[in-house]
Amino acid sequence: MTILTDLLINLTSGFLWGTVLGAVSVGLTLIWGVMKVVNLAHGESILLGAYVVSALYLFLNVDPLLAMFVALVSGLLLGFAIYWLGLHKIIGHVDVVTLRIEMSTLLEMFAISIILYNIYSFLTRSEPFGIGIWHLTPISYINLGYMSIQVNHLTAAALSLVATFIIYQFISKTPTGKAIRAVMQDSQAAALVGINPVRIKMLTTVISIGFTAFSGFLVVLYESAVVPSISYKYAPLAFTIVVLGGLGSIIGSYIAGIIIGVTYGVSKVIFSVLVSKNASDPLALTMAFIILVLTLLLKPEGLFGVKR
Amino acid sequence: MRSRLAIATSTLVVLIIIILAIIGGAVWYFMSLQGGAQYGGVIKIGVTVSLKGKFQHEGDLALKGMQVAVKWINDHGGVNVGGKKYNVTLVYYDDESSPDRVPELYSKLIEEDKVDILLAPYSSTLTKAAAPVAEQFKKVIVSHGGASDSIFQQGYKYAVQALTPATKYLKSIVTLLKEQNDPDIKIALIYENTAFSSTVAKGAKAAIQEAGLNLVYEFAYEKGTQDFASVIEEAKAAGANVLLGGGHFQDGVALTQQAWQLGWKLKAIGILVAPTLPDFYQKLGDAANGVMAPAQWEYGVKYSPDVAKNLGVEWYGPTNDEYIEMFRDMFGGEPDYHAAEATAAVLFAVKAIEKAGSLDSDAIRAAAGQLDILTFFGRLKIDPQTGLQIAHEMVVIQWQNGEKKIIYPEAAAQASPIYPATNWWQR
Repeated sequence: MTILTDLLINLTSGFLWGTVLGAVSVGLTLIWGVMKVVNLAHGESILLGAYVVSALYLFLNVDPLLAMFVALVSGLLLGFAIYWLGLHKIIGHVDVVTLRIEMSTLLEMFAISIILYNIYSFLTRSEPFGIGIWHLTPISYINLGYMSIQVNHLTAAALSLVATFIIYQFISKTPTGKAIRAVMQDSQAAALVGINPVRIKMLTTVISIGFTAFSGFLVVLYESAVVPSISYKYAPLAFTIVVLGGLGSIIGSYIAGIIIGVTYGVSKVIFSVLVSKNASDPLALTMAFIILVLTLLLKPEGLFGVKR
Repeated sequence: MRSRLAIATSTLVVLIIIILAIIGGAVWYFMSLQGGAQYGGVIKIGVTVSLKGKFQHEGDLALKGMQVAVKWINDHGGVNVGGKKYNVTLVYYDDESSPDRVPELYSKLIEEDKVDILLAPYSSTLTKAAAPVAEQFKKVIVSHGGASDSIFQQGYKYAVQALTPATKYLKSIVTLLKEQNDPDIKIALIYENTAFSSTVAKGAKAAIQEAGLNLVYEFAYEKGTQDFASVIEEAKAAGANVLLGGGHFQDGVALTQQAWQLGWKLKAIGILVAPTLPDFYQKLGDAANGVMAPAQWEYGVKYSPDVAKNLGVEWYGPTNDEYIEMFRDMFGGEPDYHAAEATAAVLFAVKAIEKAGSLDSDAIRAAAGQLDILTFFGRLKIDPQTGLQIAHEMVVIQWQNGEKKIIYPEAAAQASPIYPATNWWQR
């Protein structure tokens, strides 16, 4: 196999994975950007959706295309619970988020992450769980000549684009979305013009976790089967992507996701030539975090972020 | 003068003989290489192995087992597929025993390396992560270390199993008990409450019922249990005289030890996993004698081409002695069942390709469903529908005077079973 086909293969699969990564990061950029809540339970929120879809499919034979809406709803409910049980007392009536408050919410989300992780491990006995043989079209893969692509990967890419477009329209066009952006820019000024910050914070949490759970369906489409520890693969990447894309920017996150995916693909080829094929995956993953360091040093506000 | 002529003549004759031998050898070599068939190319077998993490030990042995199989096949003329000779090669990556690495690596094997057939990773957990990817790409995947039945209950079309499924682990021992024609058998089933052991226990219960034997006591203990005193007293009170169960090494040893110390009179003891390891006898001494255990394969089983002839099935692969020798030559250690089951999986996969006469996955899968072969690992035949292994029997070992002996099935046995276990029953 020539390096050129190798590159072509990894560009394709890196791009497809990048779209999933982008969608996975959108929920995080909202809750972090608007509320300054560093959601350490992001990975577990992703898993909620993945598990809801898988369980409905495996045990009740529900079509995943239908189950993905149940995943969305389950995420909205989890967001609702997290806000009222965990976050409201700390940030509900606060206009300026101080470092102390940020630390409290961070620890709060950390605790929630551990709780959810252990529940998942208990329920699934840490065995892989997924949608197995389901695929959207009668054929399950497409042969492009230089490589074969799973239809599920294409489905995930298409759904990620549609879903990100919808939430972008929601945030930029609807009154609620505009109110969310107003609170993000200046919580006090927003309150002065009659926006109820508590309502907006609650809605942001709910939408953010809901969208994240939905993106869990994309992850399970991409991975075929998930285990609890997969949150350690996706959550750190999502943080990198949010920083690269710019806090609070939906489009930024989506594009940064694709950048990270493609970088991963290209680095894999480079490292497989320079080091070895077996070492290329872990080394390529470190590239994503080198990008995080570089972003923080050179362009802390991110590609699409607002300078403060 | 004469002698010089004689020397010249004889040198010439020797030279001619050498030249003829070289030409003849070369012709013979090329004939044998091609075997009359055209050379077709290389068949790629893709797999991930656990070279780091918790399955490191098993993964290493499995990889060696696969490499022995590949060498044996290539040394014996490769595979004949539709009239063309193919060699076999192994493409593998390290999955680090981690189920979240597995799907990505299997995609890579199929998308980039374009392998023709897959072997599953070691363990049921990792196999469950690999099977859906194989399914999406319609590649046949042969399980060598995934004993769990549940893998094959999810509707996968392309997953097939080359080892005995968990539900059948204790079946051989139950059959053995039945064959003793003892009207007074009362079984206690005491097992670890984990996915694997519970599945084994479920299968054991079905087998006991089918054999018409008497199950008088059943208890599932939690992982990590070391104190079995109360459980043993309850089982004794229920009148049980046969103990079946266990889970992993530690608890298996503790259960046997306490049954011995509490003076439980038993006719037969069948424990999972622990008694197959040499440490078992070192830890328990005389208490180990008489204890039986199921194993996928044991050093010294007696499956041979002659046995195949008697069974009326085809023999494929190295004989036991050949296998052990090849393994020693290549790696310097002894194979265990983790290696043997991996070797068997490669043999099964390759034989299925040969029978299919094509590298098309559907043809291979259909041929795998028809295959019935005997190897050094035992008989291999799958259920054509589910891919579950139905012919391979667990061998049963029993500790006899400090030595581990294979006692079942008859075709593989080194010694006959001691029943009732004298040291446990007459004390």
